[in-house]
Amino acid sequence: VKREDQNRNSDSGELKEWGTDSNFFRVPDGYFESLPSVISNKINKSDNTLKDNSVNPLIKWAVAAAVILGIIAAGWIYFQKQSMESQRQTATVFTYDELLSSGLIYEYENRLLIEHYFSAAGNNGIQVSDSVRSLNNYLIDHDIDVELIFNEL
Amino acid sequence: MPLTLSAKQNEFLTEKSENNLHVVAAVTDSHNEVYLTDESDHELIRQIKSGNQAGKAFESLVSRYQKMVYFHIRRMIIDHDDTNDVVQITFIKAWKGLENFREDARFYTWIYRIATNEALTFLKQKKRRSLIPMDDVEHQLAGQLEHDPLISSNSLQLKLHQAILTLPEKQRLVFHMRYFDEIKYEDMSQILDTSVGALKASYHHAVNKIKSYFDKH
Repeated sequence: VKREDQNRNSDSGELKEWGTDSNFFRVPDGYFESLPSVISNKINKSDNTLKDNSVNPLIKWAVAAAVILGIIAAGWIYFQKQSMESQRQTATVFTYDELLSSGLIYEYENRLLIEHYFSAAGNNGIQVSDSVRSLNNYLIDHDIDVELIFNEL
Repeated sequence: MPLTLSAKQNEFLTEKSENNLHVVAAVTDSHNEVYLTDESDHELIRQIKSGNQAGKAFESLVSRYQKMVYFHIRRMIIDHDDTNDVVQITFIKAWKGLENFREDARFYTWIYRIATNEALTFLKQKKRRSLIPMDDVEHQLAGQLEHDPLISSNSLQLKLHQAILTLPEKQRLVFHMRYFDEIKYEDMSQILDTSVGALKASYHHAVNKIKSYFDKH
């Protein structure tokens, strides 16, 4: 402690002759007497405001969850619509020639033939509404010659 | 109420407790009032944290440190109304932050740090808002020293504070804390996050610049 005091005196000894500024900065009368209660009042007001604005944490979580679910649902609906729209647009874009050159018409005709065959054969465990590819797979798996079907027709 | 002690009892009081010897620091403000800290501060802080008459306990803390905080900020900001705003913000922030206040920390260095940061933030905002160049804000403050009705006309003090306002912000802070508040370098180091060596050098430069200002004016 003594060393600290010596350090301080050697640091500021000369300037201390200019005195301190204890009376240099003045405050309005009664300022320090009222300051603690002024601060207390402000704290109380801000605490009350915080309490008023505070929401039950459970409600907060519920609202957050609802908002997230809402966003996900809206996104899902949007993408579904987009996908349906793009499918619709794709279907209308093809011309008859394009369908023919892409082989889709052939498959369609094939499908009509196959559907006819299965309905006549008593729907052998396969839905006639299944895709052409799965019907083809069925024919391949059961080693059925498509030519025979044509001949039967 | 603050405990007023003689100057000889200043700075440190050693108190023997039942369990061990511990040191109770004392803070002196420029009105020569010395406040016992640490033990009594921690008692009040415990009271605030427990919610047992927290408001009253915090008012006691404010009463204990208001002058130290006020004059520290006032020396930086000069204007009373602005100082009043910053003092209130300082204590409100202290109240909100008390929850995280560590038991091993010292309240007086902590509140001093908040006050310093708030004063510097205020000056930064004032400089940003001001239409005049940044350096001229200090000239503006120096001019206010002469015309503010809440500032004494003591010519020596006026000159001293005008000299201080010519210093860079950091040197000004260090000079205020060392010369007026007589804060130990170790505590200043905690408050300003600067090494003791750098603080001593900063104070030394500040003293030389003030001397040179007095020589010229």
